[in-house]
Amino acid sequence: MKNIFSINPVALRELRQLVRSKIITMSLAIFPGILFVFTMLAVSTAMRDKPPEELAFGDGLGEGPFTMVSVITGLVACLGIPFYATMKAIMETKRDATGLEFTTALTPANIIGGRLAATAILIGATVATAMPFFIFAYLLRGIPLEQVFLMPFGLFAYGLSTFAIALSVACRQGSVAMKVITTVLLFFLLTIFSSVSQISLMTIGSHSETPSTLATTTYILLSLVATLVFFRAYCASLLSPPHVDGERPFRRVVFALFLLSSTLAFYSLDACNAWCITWVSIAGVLLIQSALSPREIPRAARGSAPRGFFRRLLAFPFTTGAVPGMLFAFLIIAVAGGIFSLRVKDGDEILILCSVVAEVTFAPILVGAILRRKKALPRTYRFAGWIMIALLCLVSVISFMAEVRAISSGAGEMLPCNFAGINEHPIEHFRNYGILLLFSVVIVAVSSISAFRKYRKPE
Amino acid sequence: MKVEIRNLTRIFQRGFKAVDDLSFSFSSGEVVGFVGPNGAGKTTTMRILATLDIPDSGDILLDGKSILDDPALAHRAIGFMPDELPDRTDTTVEEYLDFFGRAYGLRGKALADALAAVEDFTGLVSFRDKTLHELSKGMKQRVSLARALVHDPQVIVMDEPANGLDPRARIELRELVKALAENGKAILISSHILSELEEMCTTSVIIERGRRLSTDFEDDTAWIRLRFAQKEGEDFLARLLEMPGVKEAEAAGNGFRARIASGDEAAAELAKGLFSRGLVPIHFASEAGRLEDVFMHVTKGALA
Repeated sequence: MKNIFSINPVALRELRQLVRSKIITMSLAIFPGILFVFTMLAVSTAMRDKPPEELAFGDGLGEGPFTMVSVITGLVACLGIPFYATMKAIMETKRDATGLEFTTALTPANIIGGRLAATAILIGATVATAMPFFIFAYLLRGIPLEQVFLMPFGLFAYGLSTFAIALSVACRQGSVAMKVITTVLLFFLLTIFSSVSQISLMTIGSHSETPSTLATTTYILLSLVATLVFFRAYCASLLSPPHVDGERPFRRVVFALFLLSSTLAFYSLDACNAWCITWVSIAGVLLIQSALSPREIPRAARGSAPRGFFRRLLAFPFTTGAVPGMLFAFLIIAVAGGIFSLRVKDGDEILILCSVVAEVTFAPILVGAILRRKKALPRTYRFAGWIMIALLCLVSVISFMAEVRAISSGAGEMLPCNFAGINEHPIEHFRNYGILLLFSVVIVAVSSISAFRKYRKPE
Repeated sequence: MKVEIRNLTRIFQRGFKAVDDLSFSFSSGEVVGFVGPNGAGKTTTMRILATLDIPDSGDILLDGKSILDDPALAHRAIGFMPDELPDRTDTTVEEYLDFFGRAYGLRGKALADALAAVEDFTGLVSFRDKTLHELSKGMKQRVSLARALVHDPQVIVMDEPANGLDPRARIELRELVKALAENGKAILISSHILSELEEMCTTSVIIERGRRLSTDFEDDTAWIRLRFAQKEGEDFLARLLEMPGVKEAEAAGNGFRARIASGDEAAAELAKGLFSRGLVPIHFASEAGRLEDVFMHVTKGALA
């Protein structure tokens, strides 16, 4: 542990401050007591109307206590701690207005990473405190073993992702009052649209043993990882100090990623597929992209450009992140192809409804927020991005209406969640695939030409 | 280490020029007073030096290398002390300095040694376990200085360090600055208290509306402050003007001021003249207001 903290001073500082926080220490002290009381209440309620023989040989009593522990831990880990950590970050951005951290060797990625690490430890401690109660519920029977492990992991991933999203509010420019209002609204929206869907889906996924629903659970967990990775990068880009060059390929590529993911959603014309494809793509691509792309390019990288035009042309991709950009373009196509080839045959009403709601609300908000950053993107992206948002909204709403109509008419076993259907029409599939490839190449080419024009000639 | 600020220009929104073609330089061992009215561009210049802002044109060189091209060079070489003081209820002095030490890449023994050295230099050893919120303004200023020194920078940039300090804390700060200069640090320090700056600075740079003002004007005079045991009347000014070497005289507080030629000889001549006329002053001293005079002289035109 000592080595981990020595790597990131921000994480160490945050943890030291958390230890001194009366709210946190009191909450952590009271939390096991609350869990104990409510678990016992749930057990006694479950036992009340059951005869002794059913208690000994029946389905078990674990479900009630398990749900109770999940809800309480979820409230603390997914809402309480992220909200507290976000408010703390907002207050600190006001207090440390001079940005002294940027006069040190710390990078924005270090600062964001440190905050996430400290919050991860706090959420981890909370979930770990709840673990004995989850296991107690398992011992009461009625809960599959994998669910006992899946739920804490899901809560941890969800809590941390929530904090990553909310942290982007704290990192933005603006007044403290506006940030606080935005954070409260954000948590309200996340609570309504996302946490319900995510947690309920995980519960559904673990109850069912069909491969497709397990795959769905995996998608959801991957989407949380993707959210976390994306917002880590986004927050770092918001924090970038002035001495870092304004030409930020990582941010450009992240945006392009969103754009292309939205394109995939558009081409899928199916809400469930669109949502899965979007987030799985983001997870895979961002993880690799974040490893490949230089996050911050110092001015020196452009200042030391070779003198000859052709030499500059050759050197440019390697100094400005265009190569990772190209890799990203091809990778996303490969990932998309892989996803298209999956066969998920069953559907679920909640999955469809929640995913469509998430798609309708979440993606446009995010893409819109990125687009509004005037300096963030070349103009070509912004124009294309707004068109894409309009299309995405239109298609999502149409899909949503179609799903609701299908569910209300009792469409039966085969709801329109049909990867298989796409595979039954290979020509259409390849046509879409080709258009996507063309679109990706055009986007990357335009941005690369734009960046090259700014690639400073040596004086 | 030599710091060169070359033709620095910073333009904010609506074309407001905070810094306008500013150039000056300073080296190790020098303490440069950075003087100017509010909104003159002092803080903007200092923030650019600390890499917290970038200029629209111009450059800052450290030993000939641009900090715009290599910000990490500035991070290593410059310690920035802003005018805002640290104030937290959940962080001790030791933890605050430890964080910045680590942020500058110090670890293990190097970090422990650096913390011990800056705490000893700034007199914070007995305060290390107190939270920042518990400290007085003067002690917070010391913490801020210790933070700027923790990575042993060669250049120290101090923005209004004496702002809001009581007289004792100001004197202590002055001694710390002198000690730093003796240790070979190059120091750029801004302040509104010109008499303070005059006592610790080797040179000064005066700016107004982002531009450096010329201090190349001829002024070979000095003010002498006089006070007598008996209260003299208004007609005494006329008598004072008749004294040898007096060019200008005026009432000041419960005494008088007389402008004479600068140098000890002129002062001795005036004292002799007073004694010869039976006027024995109980206070006779030259005013330490050279920088104030220069400031008032060079900013006169622009302020009018």
